Amino acid sequence: MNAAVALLLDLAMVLGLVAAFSCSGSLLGPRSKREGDALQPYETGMRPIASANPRMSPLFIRFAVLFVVFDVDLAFLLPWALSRPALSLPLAVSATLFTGLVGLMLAYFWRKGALEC
Amino acid sequence: MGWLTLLWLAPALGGFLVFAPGKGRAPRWVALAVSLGVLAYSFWLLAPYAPGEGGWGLEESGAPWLFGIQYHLAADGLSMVLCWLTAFLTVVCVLSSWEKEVPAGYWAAFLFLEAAVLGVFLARDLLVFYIFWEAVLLPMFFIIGVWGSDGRRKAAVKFFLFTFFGSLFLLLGILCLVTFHHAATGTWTWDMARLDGNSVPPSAAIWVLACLLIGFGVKVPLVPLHTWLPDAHTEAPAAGSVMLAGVLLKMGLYGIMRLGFGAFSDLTWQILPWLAALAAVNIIYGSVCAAVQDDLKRLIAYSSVAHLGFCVLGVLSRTPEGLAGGTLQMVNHGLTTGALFLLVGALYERGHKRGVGDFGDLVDRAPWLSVCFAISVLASIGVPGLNGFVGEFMCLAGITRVIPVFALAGAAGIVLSAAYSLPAYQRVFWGEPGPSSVSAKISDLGALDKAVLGVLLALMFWIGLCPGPLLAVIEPAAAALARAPSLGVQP
Amino acid sequence: MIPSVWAVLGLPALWPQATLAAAALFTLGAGMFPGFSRPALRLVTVAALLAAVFQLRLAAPGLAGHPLISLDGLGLAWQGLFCLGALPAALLLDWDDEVPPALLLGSVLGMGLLAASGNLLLLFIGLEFMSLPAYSLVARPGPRGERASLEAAVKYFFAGGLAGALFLLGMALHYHQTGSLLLVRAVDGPLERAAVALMGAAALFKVGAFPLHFWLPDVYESTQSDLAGFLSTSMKAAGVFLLLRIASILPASPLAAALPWMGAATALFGALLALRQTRLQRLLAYSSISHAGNLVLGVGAWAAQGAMPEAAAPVFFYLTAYLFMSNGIFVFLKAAGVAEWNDLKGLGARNPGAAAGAAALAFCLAGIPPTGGFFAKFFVWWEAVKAGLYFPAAVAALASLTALGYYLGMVREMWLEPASAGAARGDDSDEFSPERAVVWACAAGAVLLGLAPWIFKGLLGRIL
Repeated sequence: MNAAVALLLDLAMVLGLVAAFSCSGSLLGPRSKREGDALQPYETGMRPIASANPRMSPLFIRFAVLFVVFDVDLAFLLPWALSRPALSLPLAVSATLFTGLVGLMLAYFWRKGALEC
Repeated sequence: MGWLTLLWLAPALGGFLVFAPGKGRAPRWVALAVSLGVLAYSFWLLAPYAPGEGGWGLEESGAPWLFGIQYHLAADGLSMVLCWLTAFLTVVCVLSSWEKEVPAGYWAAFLFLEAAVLGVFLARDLLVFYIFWEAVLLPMFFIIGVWGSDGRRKAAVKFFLFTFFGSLFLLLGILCLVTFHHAATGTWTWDMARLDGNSVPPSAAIWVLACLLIGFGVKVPLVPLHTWLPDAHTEAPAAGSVMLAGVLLKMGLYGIMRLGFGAFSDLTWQILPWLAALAAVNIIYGSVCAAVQDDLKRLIAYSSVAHLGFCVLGVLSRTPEGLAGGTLQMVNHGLTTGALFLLVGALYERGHKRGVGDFGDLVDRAPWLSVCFAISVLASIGVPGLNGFVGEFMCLAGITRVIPVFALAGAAGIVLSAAYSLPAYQRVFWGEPGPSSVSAKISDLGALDKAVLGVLLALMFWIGLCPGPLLAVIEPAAAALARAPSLGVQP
Repeated sequence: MIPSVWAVLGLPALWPQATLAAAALFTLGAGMFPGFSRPALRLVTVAALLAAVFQLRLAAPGLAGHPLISLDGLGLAWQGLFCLGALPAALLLDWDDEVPPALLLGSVLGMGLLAASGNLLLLFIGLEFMSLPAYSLVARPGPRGERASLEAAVKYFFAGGLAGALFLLGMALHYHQTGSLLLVRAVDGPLERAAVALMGAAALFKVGAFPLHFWLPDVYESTQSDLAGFLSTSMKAAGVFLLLRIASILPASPLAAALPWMGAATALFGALLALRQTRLQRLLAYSSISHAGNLVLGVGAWAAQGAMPEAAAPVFFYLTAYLFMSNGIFVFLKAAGVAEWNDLKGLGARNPGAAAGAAALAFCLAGIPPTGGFFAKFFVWWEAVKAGLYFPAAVAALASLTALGYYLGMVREMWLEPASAGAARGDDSDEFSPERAVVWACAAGAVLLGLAPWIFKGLLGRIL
C-alpha cells in the first residue's frame, strides 16, 4: 500500500478514535443534573480546599530550570563515562573542559544571586 | 583604470570633493574647477581620436563578470559630441548659478549628474548603460525637488516615477535581447554592438522593440509619454532645466540610435511609417502646445518636444545624413534651449514671474538680454546662418530620401516654431507692459551671464556657419550606424 | 567517533565557533566582576565577531562524510553574513549588564552551528541555539516600553516554538523514511515530501514569509532598532540558509514548487502593508517581509534549477546587500532619533548627515541603480525568469514598484519637505556619533555593492 495512504489512514484512525472516545462519554453515560456537587472534581470524597493550580513563586521555577540545566549536563557526561573510553589525553581534556564549563555556569549563577531565596 | 573611466569618474569624485571645503563660497570654486577640468579632459581625450572599424574609437573593458556582463566603455563620434555637450553644459550650469545661495549639495548634484550622463554616453555594455541611465535619475530628482520652484515636490516625484516606469520597460527589453541572444547562440553577451534582433523570435520581436521604445520614448519624450516633461522643466531651477533639456532628453535618442536599429533593423523598417508618424505628431503637437502657453518655461519645454521630433525623424531615416543631422540637432538643441532656459531663468530671478504677459518693453531696460534672446529664438526656429538650420535641414533631407511625406510635417514644424516663439519674444521684449508687469524690476545681464551666453551664441553661429569640423566627427559614426546589420527578420 | 576539543582545534573550519563561544563565556565571566568596564566588554564582542570573520577567510570547505559536521562553501559564506550582520548591534546596542552581548554572541554561535551542520539533529540544535538568545534579547525593554517588549518576546517565543515543533515532526518523518538524519539528498516519496514541507515551514517561519510572518512586525517594532537590524539580517540569513538546506533535501518537492509563489505573495503583501504604516520601525518590519519575499522567490528559483550549492550566489548577493541596507536603515532610526513618519519631515535640513545616509539606503532598498539593491533584485528575478517563473517574478517586480511608494516617500519627506512645526525630533548635533558612522558605513557598502559588484567577486567566488 502506498505510504501516503497509510499515513492518512493512520491520521484518520487516530482522529476517529479520539472523537469516538470524547463523544462516547456524553452519549453513553448517565445524564448528570449539573447541580449540587456535580461540578466538583470529586463528587464523593474530600472537598477540595484550594485551587488545583495555585500561583507558585517564580523562585521555584528558577530552581527547577537550574536543576534541569545541570541535570542535562550530567546526562551528557554519564554515557561518556559508561562507555569507558580509553582515557587518552584529548578525551580527558575535553571532559574536564566540559565539566569546567558546567562549573563556570554554577559560579556565574551563584555570583549573580540566582541561588539566593 | 583607463582613460575613459576617468572621464566619468572625475566628476563623480569631484561631487564628493565639493563637500570638503565646508561652507561658504569654496564649494562652487571646486565645482567650477572640476567641471572645467572635465571639459578640457574630454577634448584632450576624445578629439585626437581616429574612427576605427565600425566607428568605435577609444575602447576600454574589464574582465567579464557573471553572465557575460562586462565593464565595457567605448566612444565613437556620436558619444564624443554628446560627451562634449554634457561637459560643456555642466560648466554653463555651474557658471549660471554662480550667484545662487545654495549649499554644497547643489554643486555635487550637478557633478554627479554629469558623471552619470557621461557614463550613459560611454557605456557599451548594456547593463553598465542601464545602471548609468538610472543613476541619472537620482541627482536630477534632488535638483528638481530641493532647489526647484513652488511645484517642485510634485514635479520631482512625477519625474522620478515616470522615468523609472519607463526604465523598467527598458530593462525588460534589454533582458529579453540578452536572453534571446543566449538562447540562439549559447553565449551571454551584453555588448550593444554584438546584440541584434536576429536572435529574437519574430513573434516576440515587436514586443521587445516596444519595450525598448517605451523605455527610450519616455526620456525623448515621444508624445504620449511626454507628460512629465513640462512639469519637470518648469519647476526645475534654471540650470536644472538646462541639463534636463540639453542633455537628458538626448539620452533617449542616443538609446534609440544605439539599440533600436542595430538590434531590429528590418522590423524598424517595417514599422518605420508608424514611428515617423509619431515623430511628426511630436513636432505638431509640441508646437501647438507651445503656442498656447503663457509660462515661458513651459513654452520652451513644449518647444523641446517639437525639436526632438525633428531629431527622431532624422534618426529614423537611417540615412547617413539623417543620422548625422539628428546628432547635430541634439547638440544644437542643447545649445539653443540651454541659452533660452538661462535667459528665462535670468528673467525669473529678477522679476519672480515667468508669464509672457508679466513682461513687456524690455528691449530698452535690458538690451543684452533682448539681443541674446532674439538670437537664441532665431537659432531655435532654424534661421539659416544659425545652428538650428543645419541640423533641421539634414534631418529633413534624411527623411525625404525615405518617406518624403513626413518632411512636410517637419516643414510645417519650422513654420509653427516661428509662430509660437516670435510672438512670445515680441510681447516680452517689445510689447506694451500689462498692469501686472514686472518689467521695472528687470535689469540687464551681468558680466558673467554675458560671458556665458556669449560663448553659447558664438557656438550657435559657429555651427551655423561652419558645421564642417563637428560633422567630420559625427559622420563616420553616423555612416556606421546607417550600415548597421540588416539581416534577420524578413517581412 | 567522539568529538573532542582536539577535533575542534584541529579544524580551522570550526575556529569561528570556538572564538564566538569563548567570547560569550568570557563576557559572562567578566560579568561576575561588577567593576569590569563596559566599553572593554563591547570591544571584546566586536573583536570576537571580527575575528570570526577573519578565521572564516582561513577556513576551507571540508569534512564531507562527518556524521555531524559538514562545511561546504555555502555554509562558510553564510557564516560571514551572520557575523557581519551582528556587528552593528554589537557596536550600538544599549545595555548595562553583560547579558545582551553574551546573548548576541550566543545567537551568532547558534547560527554558526546551523551553517556547519551536516546532520538534521545539529541543524535543529543550531536553530534553537540561535533563537533562544534572540527571544531573551527581544524581551529586554525596547522603544515601546517593557510590556510591549515582553509581549513581543512571548509572541516570538511561541512562533519559534511552533517552528521548532514543525521541524522536529518533519525530522521524525524524514528519519522514518530514510533511517538517517544525515543532510543528504533523499529519495522522493509522499512521506518525504511531507517531511520536507514541515521542515521548510519551520524555515519559512524564521524568514517571516507570508502567511507565517504574523509575529514579525510586533517583534521588530518592539525592540531596539539596531537589534531589529540584527534580526532582519543575520536571523533572516539563517532562515534562508535553513530553507536552502531543506529544499536541497528534495529539490522537486511540492514545497520547493510552492516557494516562488509564496515569495511573490510575501513580497507583495509586505509592500502593501508597509504602505499603510506610520511608525517607521513597523514600516521597516513590513518592508523586511517584502524583501524576505524576494529571498524566498530566489530560493524557489534556485531549487527549480536543481539546487546546486554554487548556484545560490544570487540569494547570497541579495543577503549581502540586504545586510548593509537593512542594518543601516534600522540604525538610522536610532542615529536620527526618529520614530514616526512625520518626524522625517525636513530632516535633510535639520540633520543632513543622517538624512543623506538614509536617502542612499532608501534608494538601495528600493532597488534603484547604481546601488547594491538593484543588483540584488535583478539577479534574483533573473534567476526566476531563467527558471521559467515569469509570473512570480512579475509579481515581485510589482511589489518592488509598490515599495517605491514608501522608500521614495521617505526621501521626499526628508529632503523635499520643509520641517513641520511639530517635528522637533532628530535635530543635528555636530559631535561624532557611532550611530551615524554605522549608517554611513552601511550606506557606503550598499552603494559600493552596486557601483562595482565585481569587487565582491572574491567573496562570491567562495560559493561560485
